[in-house]
Amino acid sequence: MAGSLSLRYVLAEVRPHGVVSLRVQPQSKARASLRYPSLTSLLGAISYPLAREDGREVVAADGSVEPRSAEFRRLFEHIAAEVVGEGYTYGSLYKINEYYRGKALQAVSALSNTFLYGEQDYRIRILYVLAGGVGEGEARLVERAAWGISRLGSRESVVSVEGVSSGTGRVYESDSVETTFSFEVRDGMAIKGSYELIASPDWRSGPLSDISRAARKRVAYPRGRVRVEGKGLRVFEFEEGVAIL
Amino acid sequence: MGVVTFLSVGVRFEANVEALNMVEVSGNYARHRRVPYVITEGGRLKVVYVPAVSGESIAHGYQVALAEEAKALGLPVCSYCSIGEFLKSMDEEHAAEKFDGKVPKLSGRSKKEELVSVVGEIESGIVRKCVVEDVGGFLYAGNPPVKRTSRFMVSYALPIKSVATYATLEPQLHARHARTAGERREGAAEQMIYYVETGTAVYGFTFNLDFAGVGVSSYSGRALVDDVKKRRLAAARALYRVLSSQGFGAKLSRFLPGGGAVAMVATLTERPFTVTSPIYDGFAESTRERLERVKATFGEKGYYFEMGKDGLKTPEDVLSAVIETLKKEGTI
Repeated sequence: MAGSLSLRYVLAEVRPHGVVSLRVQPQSKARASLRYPSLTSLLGAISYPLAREDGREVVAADGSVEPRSAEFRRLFEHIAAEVVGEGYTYGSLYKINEYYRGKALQAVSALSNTFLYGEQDYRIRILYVLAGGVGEGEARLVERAAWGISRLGSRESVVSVEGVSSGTGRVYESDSVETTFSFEVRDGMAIKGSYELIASPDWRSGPLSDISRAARKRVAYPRGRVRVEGKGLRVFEFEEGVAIL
Repeated sequence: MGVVTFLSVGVRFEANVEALNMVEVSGNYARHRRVPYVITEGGRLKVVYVPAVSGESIAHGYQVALAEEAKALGLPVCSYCSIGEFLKSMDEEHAAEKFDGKVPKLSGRSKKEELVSVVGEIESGIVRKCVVEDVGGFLYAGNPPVKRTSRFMVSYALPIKSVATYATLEPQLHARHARTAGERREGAAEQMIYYVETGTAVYGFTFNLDFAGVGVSSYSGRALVDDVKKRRLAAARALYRVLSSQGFGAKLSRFLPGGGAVAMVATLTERPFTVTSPIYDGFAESTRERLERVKATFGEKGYYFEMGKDGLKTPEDVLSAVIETLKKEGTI
């Protein structure tokens, strides 16, 4: 809710179980994997435990069925992530032998994943800033759902939540801010520091049933801390960090 | 307080000289699946490759066991899943048997009400006729497309981090022999050599099973069948069978790994909660502490089981205790 001075938030500290499978949409023969979780993946991650409350995973929309995450969008003002540790993308080559019902075919394929696996300690902190109209009951539901995040992305991306914190953060405007959380890159921003840029489907608008056709936002994922300068940046400051709304 | 319906299991198992998951076959050389492991050497990052087993491989083994357990309990399993071909109801041809040959379709005027009705009908028909597709999900790529998310999740099995760099990948030389009795054919080799890459590691993986979604519609949240508890029992028993006998992976006929489960932790909760990955040292303590925090914060029920504690000496003890608790709770 723009203009609000304070907003509630839930912060989940996620530990990957080695692999995150984050498909780049639309998929092609060379199925690439994102190295950082897109904003729609972060929304989907918390939507599973939220949808489980009444068992309805999908909802009807005009001309299609939508994942329930479309309905849960109203709960969030902002979603961001801080990734500690550098992911490494790798995919084995598959030689597919199809000898089935009288047909004999061969094909080669590859399915890449991002591995957050190595000597260092890989962690992902996911920030959910709640919308202004969210009440106490729903905020508690989101907090419990954050503990229930079990998968990030698709397929074998099992994760565990090692800790959840919640509270109220302050919203204000500034022309310069340092952050470790992902943020949408807008015209007029100057970014100092190392970061990776991904094109993330816009989670706020449009249908989520087919994100391959969704509008894209340029999202920066800082490697460590970056300084962002720009006129009238909306900043969310909370106990564990700072994010740009 | 509600009923516990979410199971999470973390397993560490030792596998010596295994060929559980093979990829990248090149000529006569079959390579084991490998994954990058990032280490620091001389202040620089370096990637080494260690053996791994994909979640798909473990999931296949689980679904084979699920089909068997479901049939043993007199539950329906479709003809493809019965023989371990998990094509699921991927298209009209493979879904036909669930609908006596006539899969519901859209009339062409895809109104919202009709769409919801037809997708619900398709999901319901498939779930009723096949427990494997009920628990393991499916993606029907027809008109309209219908997706059911798997009720179980499984991670890759990766070498535990503290000893990952000691995991080995070693090609083993084998030879096939041609017939030598009788007339020799010109140019025919008496021996054909081939290599199978074998891995040795202590692996860790995580398996989650969400009982709340078994037999339940993704669209309405209502039960689609009246044997939900029996289906949940089949799902739990299948997990017991897979983890007890290490019933997953390839080449078990000639490369049955030496070893077995060395650590296991399981939790039962009302809402989703995943154990800390066994690839990390201290995963059991971390899991127990987190579970206590969730129970205290939200006033929920939660059960913790650990191999080597509270008289649970073996993996079978842990899994039996899980199933007994599910029965006591009325989940199965």
